[in-house]
Amino acid sequence: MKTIRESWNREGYLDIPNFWAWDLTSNTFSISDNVNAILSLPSQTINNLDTLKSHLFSFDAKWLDFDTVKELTKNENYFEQKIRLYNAEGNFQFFQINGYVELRDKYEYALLLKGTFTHISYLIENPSKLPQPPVHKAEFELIINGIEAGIWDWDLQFDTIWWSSKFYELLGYQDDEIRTSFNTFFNTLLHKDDKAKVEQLIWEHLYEHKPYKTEIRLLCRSGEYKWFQTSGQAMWDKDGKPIKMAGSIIDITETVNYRSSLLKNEFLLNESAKLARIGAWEVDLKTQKVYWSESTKVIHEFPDNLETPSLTETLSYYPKTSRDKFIKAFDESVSLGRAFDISCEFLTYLQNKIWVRVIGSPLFDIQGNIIGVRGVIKNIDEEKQKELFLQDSLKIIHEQNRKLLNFAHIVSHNIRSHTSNLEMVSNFIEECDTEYERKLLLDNVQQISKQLSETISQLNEVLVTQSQVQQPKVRICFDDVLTKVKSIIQSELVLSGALIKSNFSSCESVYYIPAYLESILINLLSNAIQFRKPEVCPMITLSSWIENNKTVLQIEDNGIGIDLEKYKYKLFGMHHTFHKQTSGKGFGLFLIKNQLDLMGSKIEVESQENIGTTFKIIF
Amino acid sequence: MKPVETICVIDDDNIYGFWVKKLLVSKNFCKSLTIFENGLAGFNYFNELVVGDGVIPDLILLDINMPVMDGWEFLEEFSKIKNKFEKDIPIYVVSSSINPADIERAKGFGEVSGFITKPLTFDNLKQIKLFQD
Repeated sequence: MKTIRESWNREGYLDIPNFWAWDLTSNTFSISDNVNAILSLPSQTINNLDTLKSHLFSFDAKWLDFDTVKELTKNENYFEQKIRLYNAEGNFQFFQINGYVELRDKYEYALLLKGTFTHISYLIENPSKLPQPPVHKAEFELIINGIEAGIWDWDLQFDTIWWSSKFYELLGYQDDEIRTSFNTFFNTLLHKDDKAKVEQLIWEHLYEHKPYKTEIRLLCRSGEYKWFQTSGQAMWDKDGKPIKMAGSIIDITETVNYRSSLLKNEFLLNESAKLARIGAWEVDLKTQKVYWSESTKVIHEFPDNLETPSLTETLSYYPKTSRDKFIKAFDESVSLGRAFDISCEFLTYLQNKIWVRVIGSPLFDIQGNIIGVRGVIKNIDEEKQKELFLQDSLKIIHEQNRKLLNFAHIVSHNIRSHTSNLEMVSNFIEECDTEYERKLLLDNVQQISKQLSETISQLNEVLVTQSQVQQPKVRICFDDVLTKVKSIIQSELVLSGALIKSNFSSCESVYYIPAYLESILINLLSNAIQFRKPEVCPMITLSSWIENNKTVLQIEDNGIGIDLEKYKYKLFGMHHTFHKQTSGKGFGLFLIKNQLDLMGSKIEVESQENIGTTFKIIF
Repeated sequence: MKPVETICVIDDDNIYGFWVKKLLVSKNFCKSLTIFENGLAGFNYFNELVVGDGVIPDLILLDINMPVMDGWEFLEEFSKIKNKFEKDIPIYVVSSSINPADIERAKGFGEVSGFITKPLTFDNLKQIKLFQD
């Protein structure tokens, strides 16, 4: 304005309520404190160029830019600009800046600028004093009101804005409920986290002609923010100065919610897949390409940096034992359109053997042709191992139960056979007629009690044997144990004149419980001697070897043999004897069978009467 | 109760053998008693009866656990020749076993009339039909 043409006293100018001065030499800027009062800011908040700039709307920043101002005043002594400053509530306040050049250097560049500022928000906010909002043709009006989009039309020269009825409606306002201005849009409706983005994008559109299209949150009457997609197009004058910008807003709250729930679901799916060790896979039959999800790679222990393998390569993850099963299921899925669900052994990239469950179903195109197979893979190793362990445990428990029951019967039967005798004999105590009978009775009682105690000690031996299963296994040389056993049964050997030959060269030792191995050898050797043929020198041959990864010990004799057809099932029972003429107690084989069972070993027997018997222990 | 003519006991336990004889004879269950110490000895006796002369026992008391030929095997062999005798010979299994499996198995033989758990006493001899009137 031309009213401030006089020269101001440098010391006194700040007392004037709307004065400013800018010394471009030292780049010092002074402004009347009144500016703070107008913006409802504490005194001295804005007192230099930096504090002023921090309250300036970025679009207007160039008017306080050193170089711009220097260029602007090169040929003009006077200038006039509208700027927007933020007040304490964060709303724009419009100011008109008028300035003039007080001092120039020899190159005619301004050195000192002085001027006034005038608060003109009142003028801006009362559009009646300014040009009317745009008038649209009736056809446009129909379109504008008909579409599900709010239209905005922003006059950049006067900073006035026009919003279509739909614009208000989308936000839930009546037409006159909010002040229609860029300030309202930017400082009230727009979410604070979207401000910087919008500011930058509009600037880039206006001054760099980049497209303006973005997603923003706007405050609705309900107090909630809704998501909108907004886009717009500016109009420039012949000098390239933007004069107008118009555009639309579309409610995309649902889309955004849908998108975020999709993201959330994807996150949950990924996380649960990781947790549950489930991976997704898909095979495109046309391209033979294989897709693996993150978790699928993890299950395969497949390196991150490698390309997903081809369909044939994926088969290598199924070891021989399960490959056919997988191929059959997959082929049926492709040829018959059948879904499959198989559990099988699986070999990871790092060659770890695990159990997986693979579920797949065919993919159809619109014509109903099978174009692929899609499914999931789950690492079920832990479950499977537990299941197998449980099966094993169950088997062991059944076996233990069977053994216990068997033992209970053995105990009851063997003890009962003596006690029933005792009972019977004692019934006759009163009825013995003769001295002979009385003596016989007492002898019998003595005999029975001896047998009873023998039986009890045998049963006890079985129990001791069973508790020995806890003893540690050690490597035992067959030669050593044979030497020891020979010395234990030395008297039997000497009396019978038995010859023992051994050849343990194929397999010299076994990993076993020493007490068991000794007991097994003692019993088998004693049996061989006891059931020797009369008149024939007993020959016992021991040998060992490896068969099917297992140690085998064989004890062969030239004794009287056993009729296996008759006694096969009784051979290892308690108190079964098969030969009338000898003093067999029917206990040795029962005991060693018990020991072998406890160790999971097997015993096989071959025999021919009058030729000999061969026992084979498979450890 | 009238004593029967002959009872046949098949049992390898000689203590039992001695006292069962005393029980059966002194309590007047039978007039005479024959004891075989295993199934085979018993079977051989019956097998000879088929062709030769001899006393056909009125009752057999059979043990299960015996060497050489046990009670079960005896029952199997006996079933093959029993029809050659002019009268039915009731067989009672007398065993110290209380194993239900043994009792069931004994019942499975048509030749077996009953299962008596040892000890054999005056009272449980009364289970035998012949001695019930």
